[in-house]
Amino acid sequence: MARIKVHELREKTKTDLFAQLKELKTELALLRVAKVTGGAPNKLSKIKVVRTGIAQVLTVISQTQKAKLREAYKNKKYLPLDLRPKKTRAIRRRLTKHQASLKTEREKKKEKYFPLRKYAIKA
Amino acid sequence: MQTSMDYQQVLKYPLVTEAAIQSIIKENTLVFMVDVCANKKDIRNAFENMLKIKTKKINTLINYDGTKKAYIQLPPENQAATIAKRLKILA
Repeated sequence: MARIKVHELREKTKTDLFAQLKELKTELALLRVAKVTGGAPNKLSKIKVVRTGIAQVLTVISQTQKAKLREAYKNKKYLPLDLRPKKTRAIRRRLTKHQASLKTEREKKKEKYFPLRKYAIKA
Repeated sequence: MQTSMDYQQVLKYPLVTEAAIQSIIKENTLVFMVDVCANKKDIRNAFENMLKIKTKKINTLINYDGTKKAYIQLPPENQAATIAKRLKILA
């Protein structure tokens, strides 16, 4: 079987991907038997290829699933916790940029009528 | 505690030691290394789904290094020797 190309995997449907995963796993099982019964070196070196193939398929499956979930929740009010930004605990509890920049009417007027002046002093 | 394992992860590889080959010939059983978390029901499931072979009895044991070995006895209509040849366990 040819080397798996991930950009081709991304175009497949979910059922296709799961079918391919099953194929790869059965192939791995055969290769493992060959390893135990003293198989040919070309079979033994194929084990690594098949394992990375399985990893690639699983990655594509989970990436597309996450992307679709994000789309589905895009304009909703509440996001599931694992789709929200992770950052750090402290950062998540800080005031948002908008909240920190809010000023009272009083403060806004003060800034408008009495801004910080720049002077130049004649030497 | 009903969680069963994903059946493709259960069976790892068959054993081909002298003793294992004897058990293929004499007792119609195949000997497999199996995941430690698998129980006999899982092993039966995995065997019948992946290899499409009926099983009669399964005995398991845990080796000293933490791996699990399963002796899978086949009913008389399945000959272990022919199955072993099909799976390339016996040459």
